[in-house]
Amino acid sequence: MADRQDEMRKLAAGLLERGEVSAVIGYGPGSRPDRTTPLVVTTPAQCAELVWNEHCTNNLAVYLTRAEVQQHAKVALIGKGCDVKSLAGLIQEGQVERDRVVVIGMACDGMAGSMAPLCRHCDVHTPPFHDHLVGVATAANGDPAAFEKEEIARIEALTPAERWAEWQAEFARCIRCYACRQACPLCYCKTCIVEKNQPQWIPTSAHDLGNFAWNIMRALHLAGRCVGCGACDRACPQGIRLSLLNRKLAETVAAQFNYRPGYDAAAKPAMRIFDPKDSDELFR
Amino acid sequence: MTTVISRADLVKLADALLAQGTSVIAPSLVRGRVEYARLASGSALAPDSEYIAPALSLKEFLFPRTEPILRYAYGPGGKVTTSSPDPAAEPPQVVLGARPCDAASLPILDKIFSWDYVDQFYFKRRERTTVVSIACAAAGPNCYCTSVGYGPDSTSGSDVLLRRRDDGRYNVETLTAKGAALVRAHSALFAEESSAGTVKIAALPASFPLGKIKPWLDGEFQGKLWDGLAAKCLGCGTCAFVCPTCHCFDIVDEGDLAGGCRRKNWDACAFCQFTRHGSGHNPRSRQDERYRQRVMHKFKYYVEKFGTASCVGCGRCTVLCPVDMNLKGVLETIAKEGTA
Repeated sequence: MADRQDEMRKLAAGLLERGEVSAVIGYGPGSRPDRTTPLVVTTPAQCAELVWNEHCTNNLAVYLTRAEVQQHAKVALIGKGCDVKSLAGLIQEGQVERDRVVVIGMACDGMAGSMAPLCRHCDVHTPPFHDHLVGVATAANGDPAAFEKEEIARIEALTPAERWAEWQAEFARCIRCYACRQACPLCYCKTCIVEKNQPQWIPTSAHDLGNFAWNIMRALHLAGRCVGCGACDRACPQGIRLSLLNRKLAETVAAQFNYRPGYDAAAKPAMRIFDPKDSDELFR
Repeated sequence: MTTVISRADLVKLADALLAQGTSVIAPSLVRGRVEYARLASGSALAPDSEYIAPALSLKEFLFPRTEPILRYAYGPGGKVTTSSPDPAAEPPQVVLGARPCDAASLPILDKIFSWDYVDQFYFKRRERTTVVSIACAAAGPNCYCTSVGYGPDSTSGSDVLLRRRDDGRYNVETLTAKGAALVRAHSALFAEESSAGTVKIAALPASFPLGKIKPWLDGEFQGKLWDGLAAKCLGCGTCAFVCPTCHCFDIVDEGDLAGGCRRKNWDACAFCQFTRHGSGHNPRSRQDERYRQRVMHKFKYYVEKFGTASCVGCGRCTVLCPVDMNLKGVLETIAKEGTA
């Protein structure tokens, strides 16, 4: 990892020196040895503060739709494969222009801590697209569909009443902090549906109804768009297993429309395009 | 003579209180981490040597995440009946094993909830809550209670303070009449020891001088510090919601054709719409303005209004922040930039 850190710093400093970008979005040291923190650097000297290690878990693509970042003509993004997949979504949906982001792709063999289980099933140890690539991935590609497969099967085998009780217990923990939404690169709406009050489509109260409505509605809004980066799951201060919802919907879209988002920024998103050849199974 | 209680008897105390119909709130292992939870039995009380502090604060037991404050129903002939839930009808509460930082948050919250209006919902619960704290034998990497006027065995906000001895039992310091009443009511579970034994209290040097913070804030509303700091803040409500002293709330009405409910819900100044006016104008339209407000509120405005900072140094905001916004680090930076 250390040699990748040096190469990443040199690349970033070079881009800033040559004026190819005016900001680099990367990671800096965190408040503890087992954390990093997002860091935006704007001078070559500041690149010495950038770090690359097994705690670089944040999805930095989330900052690309921020007004403060978009004021730059061009920025560089330190991107793991999962983060670059969400960038593909942002490009597909017209939120970020491809030629305004220099992607410093980081070959990534997997992160530590709570992200590790997700990383074991990763198939983008080498980011799917990039302008520069730092390092060579050594971890073998896994199958993202296998992540949480057993847990999803366990829940699907429950009776409706048991399933209701399971999710009620899960969502009772939700404190409506919206860390899930704020950490997600694809939740970029300037006014979220939960912030609309004429009418109040989704109750803001942290009771059963409000929490079910919020979590399910967010998952549905991401169906066919979520790339499974896990940022929401990691951001949740209450450990709510959002990945289960997102994974289930991702598999449903894959089965119905033969589409998995994030690999190709030029692909037509399944939930936005009508194709007469689409399966009718959903409507039966 | 020192009053002592063993861990086993602490568990028995929890069970005795539960048997009386008292709600016992204690650190408990929930889905792999220690949280303050309402115990179903004393055996669920987590041993205090196994955690630094529970994940969230105590405030939800006095100031719930969502709370109905008024219910209304439409009756025949257009008659509307209203009712207001009465916290005095709820069971009394005993917190068994608060950390001193969490106990210290209560006197801080008392000030805002009795400032221009005495919040009956908060205070009726507060009156019916007894707080038994356990001093910290160890500090976590994000803790800074000693920098904001508290400490691992601070007594602020506690009715009883327990300190763990090297023999595993706790020395019991009764601090208030409420605390004395609790100990008296269960005196069989407490013993008297001639020696105070050896007590381990965490060693946590202060990270910054609190006295330097407000003077710097007084002059630096337009300072450059805020831009860089807030660049990474996601604008979620995690810090406000896990904080023991954050207290902002939103009032919402949820109704249908039969009637409805007015609720008081947690709110956060980090949310982009927090200060949005009905006109559409938003005086804090940028995240750096909102993060500045968080620090100003806690270390300047609250001090000016109530004589105390609105922070107990628990570090939860940093521990649970998705992007590791480091409030202790911000305060250390401010203290270094401050004037002598």
